[in-house]
Amino acid sequence: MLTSANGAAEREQGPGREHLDRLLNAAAQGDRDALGQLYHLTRGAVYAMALSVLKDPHEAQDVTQDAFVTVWQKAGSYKSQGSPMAWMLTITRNLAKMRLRQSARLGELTDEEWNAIPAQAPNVTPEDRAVLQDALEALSAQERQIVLLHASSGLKHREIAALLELPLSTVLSKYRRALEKLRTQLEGDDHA
Amino acid sequence: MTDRELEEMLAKALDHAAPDDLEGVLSRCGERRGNVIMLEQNNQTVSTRKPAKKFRWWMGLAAACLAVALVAGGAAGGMWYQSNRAVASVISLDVNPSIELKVNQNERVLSCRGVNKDGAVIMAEMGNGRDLEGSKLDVAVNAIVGALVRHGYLDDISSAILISVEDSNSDRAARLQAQLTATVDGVLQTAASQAGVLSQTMGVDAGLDSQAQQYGVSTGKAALVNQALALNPSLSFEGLAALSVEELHDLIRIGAPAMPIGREAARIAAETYAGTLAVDSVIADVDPELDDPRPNYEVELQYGAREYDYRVDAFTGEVYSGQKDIVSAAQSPAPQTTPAPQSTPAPQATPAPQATPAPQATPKPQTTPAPQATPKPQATPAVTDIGLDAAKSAALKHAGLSASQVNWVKAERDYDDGRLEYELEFIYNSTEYDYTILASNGSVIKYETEPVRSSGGSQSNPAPQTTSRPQTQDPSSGTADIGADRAKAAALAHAGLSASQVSRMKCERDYEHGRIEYEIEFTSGGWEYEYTIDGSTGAILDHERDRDD
Repeated sequence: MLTSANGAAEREQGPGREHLDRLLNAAAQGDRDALGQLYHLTRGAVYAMALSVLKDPHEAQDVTQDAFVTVWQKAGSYKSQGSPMAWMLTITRNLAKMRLRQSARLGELTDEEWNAIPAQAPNVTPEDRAVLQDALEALSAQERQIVLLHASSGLKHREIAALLELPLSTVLSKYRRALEKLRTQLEGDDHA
Repeated sequence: MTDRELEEMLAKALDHAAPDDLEGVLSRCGERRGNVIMLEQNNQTVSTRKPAKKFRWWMGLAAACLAVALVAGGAAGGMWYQSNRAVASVISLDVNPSIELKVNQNERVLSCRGVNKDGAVIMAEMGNGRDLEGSKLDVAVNAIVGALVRHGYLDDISSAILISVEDSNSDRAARLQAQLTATVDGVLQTAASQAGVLSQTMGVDAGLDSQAQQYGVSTGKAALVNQALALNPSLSFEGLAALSVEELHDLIRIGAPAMPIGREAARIAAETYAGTLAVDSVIADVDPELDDPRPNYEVELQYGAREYDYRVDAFTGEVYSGQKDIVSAAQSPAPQTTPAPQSTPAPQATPAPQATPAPQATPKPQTTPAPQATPKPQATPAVTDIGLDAAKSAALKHAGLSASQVNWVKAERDYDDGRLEYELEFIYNSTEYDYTILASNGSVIKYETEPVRSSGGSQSNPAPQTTSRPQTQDPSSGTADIGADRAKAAALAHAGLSASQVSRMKCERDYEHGRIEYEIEFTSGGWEYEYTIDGSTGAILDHERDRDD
């Protein structure tokens, strides 16, 4: 399992594109260990994408699993020339959007729903919950998506722009504004 | 707090909150046909070369995946870049041998392999496919079909070759389909083969690909198997995959009422009836006639200077037409042509060698008492040989299986360690059985069982285990396992839905209450269904239907 130290190192350049590429190609050949490694390296980002679209931790968990199963099934159609992370996140986003359409549920997340996260995931600390809750409360949908993806996937701003089909300038400005909001919110929490 | 610190906090929180259930993911991998994804139906184009006899064709099956379409069409930038090394189309050729070719957009062969053992034998003639790499597709197909004809796979008028083109570009797929059908047709005409040519195009469906990979068949054949399964979900993918294209095709045409016994079981049934099972000078030719009013296998036995025809019921194994005990008849002065027998019990159910009617009238040449098999009726040379069929029967008997349950993958006579042996391999219930049988008396010299695993192309199977008794059951539990597909089919059948009508299919295999259970969930029409299926019998243990909110 990915430790947070490794995670930070990987995040600095993103979980090595070539490494992901190799893993994805190995998965395409039926290598389940490769899929396992891929899972540990990218499940945070996949979950972030699912969560940012669905705004529902339970649904996001389901879609995260569905996404990796789909990655396994579709790995053969991945072309190495692309970005492996972007490819996986595109699948995740498609699945999340389909899920959203199926459930026709577009409502915002309530506090109650967010509070359900710790019960689902024993590793979540009060600090984790606070930062996620703040991110969700303080940020707009797009800001949230951009910040969560940037933090978890190692994708560059221009890649996130391509993935979300937004102009780079929009992504940059929303990213800056989101971080400011989040910082204010968290520091507010500290002062409280 | 810096931006980086803030991001790291977020990343850590996401890492902690994200599900960490690799096991759950892996348990669903290998399962094919991404039920989590909405599937778009593609029109399957199927053409046949000989509509006159039997090949009216079926409607569409192949499914293209929406997610792939979205990925290919979209966002992540430059991903559908094609190069000469990129696979543009996958072509499979199926008779019984299955062969798969991957070609680039210029229709040059990138790789070529035999998907099953028969296919591998054909490809061995061509450097295991390497000789064809870089050649034009039609040239390669020409060579392969030529080899198939040489090996006798396309001799019969009712035999058929299926050409499947899998390509995300439907225009190109259609063009290749037409081109290859013409190529194959040309080869067959030149070779005076009367075999039929079936063809289909399919959108890229990685779900189907992984299913095909799992069962060691081509994608085209997997599509065909799914057709049969859609008609009758109680059949097993594995059993269907072992049938030839011709059998599958006819089975689909008649609505797939049940699982055919297969050619080998039909031959053994006929030979048991004819009393030739222990006679190795008999040449048998089996022709499936599943589209006859009474679906059957027509078995032709050549014994001595005569040919004997038998009809074996395709589903029960009952021999309902043909002459009984031809060996004794041949020995008696006036070989009478006996009328078709009244119904005999299906002999394939117990192909124990001693079931063979002993040829009393034969001179008994044996010097050693053969414990299991009847001695060869012909005058034999010094080495006693019980014959291939008796050897097979001996192996089956030892394994506690009947011919109708297994698929043969190897049956060879070998001279090893100064003695004549039979090397036999067959597959039953995802387990490969390897037997070495002593030719002189049918005793089992050696046997092994090995799980047939196919989680991908690699053959990294666990080492074969030599067991005191072959494993015919789930090794983890000692309980037979019907497999996820049949469990899902049972749930769907109970719900009165077809696989295409449901979404968000989940299937988990558990070991609970001392047995294997499948927990199956899916949604359809605003309802969420939950099933618990008995993993050994397919019985519905529990089910629930709730509004899917």
